[in-house]
Amino acid sequence: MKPENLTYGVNDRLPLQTLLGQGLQHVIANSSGWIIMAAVVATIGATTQELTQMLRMGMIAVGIGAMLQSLTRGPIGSGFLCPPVCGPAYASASVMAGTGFGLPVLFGMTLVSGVFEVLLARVLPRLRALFPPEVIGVVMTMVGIAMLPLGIPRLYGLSPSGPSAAAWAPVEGAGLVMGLLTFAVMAGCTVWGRGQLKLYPALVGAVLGWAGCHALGLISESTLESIVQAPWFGLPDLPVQGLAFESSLLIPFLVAGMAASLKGVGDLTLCQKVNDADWKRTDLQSVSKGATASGLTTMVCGVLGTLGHSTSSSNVGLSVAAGATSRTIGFSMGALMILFAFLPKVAAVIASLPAPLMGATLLYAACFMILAGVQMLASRLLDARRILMAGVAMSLGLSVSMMPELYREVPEVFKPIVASSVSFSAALAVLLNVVFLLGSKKTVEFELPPGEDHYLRIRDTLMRFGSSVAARKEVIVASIDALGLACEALDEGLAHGPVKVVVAFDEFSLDLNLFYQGHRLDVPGERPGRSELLNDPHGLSRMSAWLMAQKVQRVSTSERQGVCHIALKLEQ
Amino acid sequence: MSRIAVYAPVGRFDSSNSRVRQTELMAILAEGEGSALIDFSGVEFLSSAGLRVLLLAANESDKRGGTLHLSGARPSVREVLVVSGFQEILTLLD
Repeated sequence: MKPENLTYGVNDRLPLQTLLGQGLQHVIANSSGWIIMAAVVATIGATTQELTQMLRMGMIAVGIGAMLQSLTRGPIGSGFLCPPVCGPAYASASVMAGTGFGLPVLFGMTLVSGVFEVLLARVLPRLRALFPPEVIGVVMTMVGIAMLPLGIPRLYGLSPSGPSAAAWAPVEGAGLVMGLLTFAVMAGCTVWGRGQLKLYPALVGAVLGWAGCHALGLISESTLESIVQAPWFGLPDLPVQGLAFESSLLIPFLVAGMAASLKGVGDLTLCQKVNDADWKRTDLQSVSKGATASGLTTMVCGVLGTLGHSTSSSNVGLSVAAGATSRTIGFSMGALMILFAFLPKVAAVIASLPAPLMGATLLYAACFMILAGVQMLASRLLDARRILMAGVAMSLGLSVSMMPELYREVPEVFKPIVASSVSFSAALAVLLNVVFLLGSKKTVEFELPPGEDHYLRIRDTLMRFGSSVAARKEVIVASIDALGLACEALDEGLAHGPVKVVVAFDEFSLDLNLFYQGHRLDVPGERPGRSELLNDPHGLSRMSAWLMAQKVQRVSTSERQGVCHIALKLEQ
Repeated sequence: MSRIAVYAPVGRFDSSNSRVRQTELMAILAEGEGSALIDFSGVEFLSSAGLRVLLLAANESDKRGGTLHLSGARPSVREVLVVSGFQEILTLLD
């Protein structure tokens, strides 16, 4: 169900004018990734011409990736507006490859990472246990927080004075004023804006901010000159660097691919949550298709000769803030991005966005990302186990950006994990979640004597147990129904004596195990017919068994040395 | 003008009370000349034995040329009716 705060939900179609406007707005928000590309390229020591070429190829890759992600049919694409961006996930590994082995190895290993991301995406649905909402909440919160060191100095009018992220030129009064004013315009559109104005906070902010920066002389003559000089149309150069591979870089690039995938799980989960008022848990089938699109995009990056990309939190945050999450925007944004790669003048205008504007856009998107992560984290009952998992993961993750010197001696292969707060927090959250799960399974056992009416006992016991372990109500109701139906099936002469019931609950599932002596229960593969229900002496038992199987996600029955076993699994 | 007889069971609709439910429902159908509205809002559990009673009632209603409507089923009960294909023989309201 579409939430009320969205003007255009994921399935909605937009008028052409709105579609193009939204696409342009997302192109502007996406250009924040160019900051990272410029920083990595400067660190590697590549030329300005190589940077320009990588930016234009990056635009084509973003365009293809945004469209792949918006697909709804087939095995590729989550169907959400979640375009890729040149994010921090690949920065560390790219610097290692570029400085040590040159650009062909950097592009070749990026291709390998993309293949790994695609393979990982295929097994994601089986790894549900690793990604409960609290782990994803930690990742999303940290993704938002990680945008701040890029955004806030620029918001205050600072400009990077060198390749190091910590080297900033002194504050300029006019830059500070323009950064804050631009943010105020974006926030004003969102909070007080009505109609069209509410839909375009980043676009309105960028246009007014650019005009203001120009009036105050914050856009240099050389930048304006480069816009004037840029041709209207120009084909990007074909990739000439070629691809090369280096086995010693395999682990850093696989870790980078994993960090990009984890970030993708967080971004795509947020997409699901904001588009469904009744959202309860991550749909990992959809995330898997989205992660496949993301991996293919990284492969495209390698082939085209640019840095690896991951899902864009800025764009997802912007879509939430603007209340426009339609997947069609992914197509319009993708088409515009590819078009602009062939229009150097337009690309030059976007690339000239002054630092205060970038800062305002990044802070604006980060606000929505951070709070969405906190909301997801707090959506679960925060017991000691979850508090420790989230607290440790976020604290140690933050220490990477607060005290980077602590991590200087980390072996090279693990550097990508501690390369950013996000990747370190994500790795710790996944690991601690698994560690703290050990021994957390709660169980209850009871016996159902033969010849008695069991339903009330089943209902009261499971309601009490479900409440004590904070299981979802729907799961408890389904478990009562399934157990009631199982008992009714066994009452038809299958159980000779009492039935022992063992109920086990952990974060991921509620398991019902029934043990009894007698005959094994056969669960029909097809629904028994009506005449079978009326006339067959086993019809009632077979229908009960079939209905029982419909209430659960997994069922198995067996018989060993006279003891029969029915195992039912309900996903939490 | 034909009368509509209403039957509103409460609690379970399963093997523990299927005989009583069957007797009650047949009496209601006789009263309604083959047509009845079953208000299922009070039913918390429906099993195959309960489905069998509904099937017998639907056959009886059909034989008498009437119609059988069922309303107010809560989600878990409605799910049983739908997956077992009973929306084809009963008119599910709501």
